[in-house]
Amino acid sequence: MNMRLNETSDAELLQLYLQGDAEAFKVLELRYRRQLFAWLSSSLGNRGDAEDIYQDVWFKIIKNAERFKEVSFKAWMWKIARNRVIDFRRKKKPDLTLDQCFGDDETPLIDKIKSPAASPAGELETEDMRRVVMQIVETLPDNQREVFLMRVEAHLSFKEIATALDVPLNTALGRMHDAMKKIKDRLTEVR
Amino acid sequence: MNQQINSSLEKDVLALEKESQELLSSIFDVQQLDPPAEIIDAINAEARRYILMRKFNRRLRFMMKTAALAAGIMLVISGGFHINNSHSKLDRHQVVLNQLSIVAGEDGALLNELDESSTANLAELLMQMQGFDEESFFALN
Repeated sequence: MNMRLNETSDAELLQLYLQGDAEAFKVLELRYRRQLFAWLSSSLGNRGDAEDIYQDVWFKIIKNAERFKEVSFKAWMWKIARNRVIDFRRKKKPDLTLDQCFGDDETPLIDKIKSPAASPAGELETEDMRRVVMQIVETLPDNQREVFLMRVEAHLSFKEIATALDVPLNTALGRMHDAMKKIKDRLTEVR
Repeated sequence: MNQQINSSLEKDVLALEKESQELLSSIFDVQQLDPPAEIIDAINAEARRYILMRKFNRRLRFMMKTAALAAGIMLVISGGFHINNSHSKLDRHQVVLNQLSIVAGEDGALLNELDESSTANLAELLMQMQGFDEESFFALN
């Protein structure tokens, strides 16, 4: 892939794409592929749904690329993704949780998402801890969980989170603070 | 004030994050999943399709604009011709009327050869051109 494009900013890549450079779009999609997909998987608790929404989000980005006028492409993209997740949840009831099992398969969704391959025995402790943390994350209020996952899963800055959620920076920080405190307190109880 | 709150809150949050950084990254950074290749292909195909459609629309818009401009120019040119023709006709009418006026002044007999309605119309036109209506014209004469 073009080295020059790898160093180009998101907004410039989008501009190049609009000028007809399909390669610029590929670079942009690749840049956020894992972050966005991981966030969608955690937010939706289901890989199949995450795949559909991932495609929808990018289709929407393509369709609205001309209208992009915000400071951060990342924040704009997450705003689109978040709205799509909200729409999806509204349409699909009952809501899914990461601990839910389906049909004959008794593996909770969280294990299917987080462990594509079986974990070696040495990683069991980390695996257990991961499950505990994810369970705690699941019990967080929606607005705190949202901020927490955007931060730790997608590595968004607090400014980008605030933009994506349409809330003041202070609110985003406050929600993350509360989420982190709760996780920390509950982990201390568990330990 | 708000900025101060933000920065102290941000410091708190960052400190909390730092404390749990190792744990959080061991949990969240292990996930290295990619969406399936078909999804990526579909997205890139859609991106290419959109770009082609955009190019086509741009060309179409350009052609429409050019056609509209050409139609506008044609309209202006034909309008010019029309105005020119109208002026020529008016000039001719004026000449005829002037001549009739002179003739009528010298020898009213010629006007008698014209039929009654056209004579009346001509007379009315002549009066109007001189700024009279029928009553004031005859009052003066």
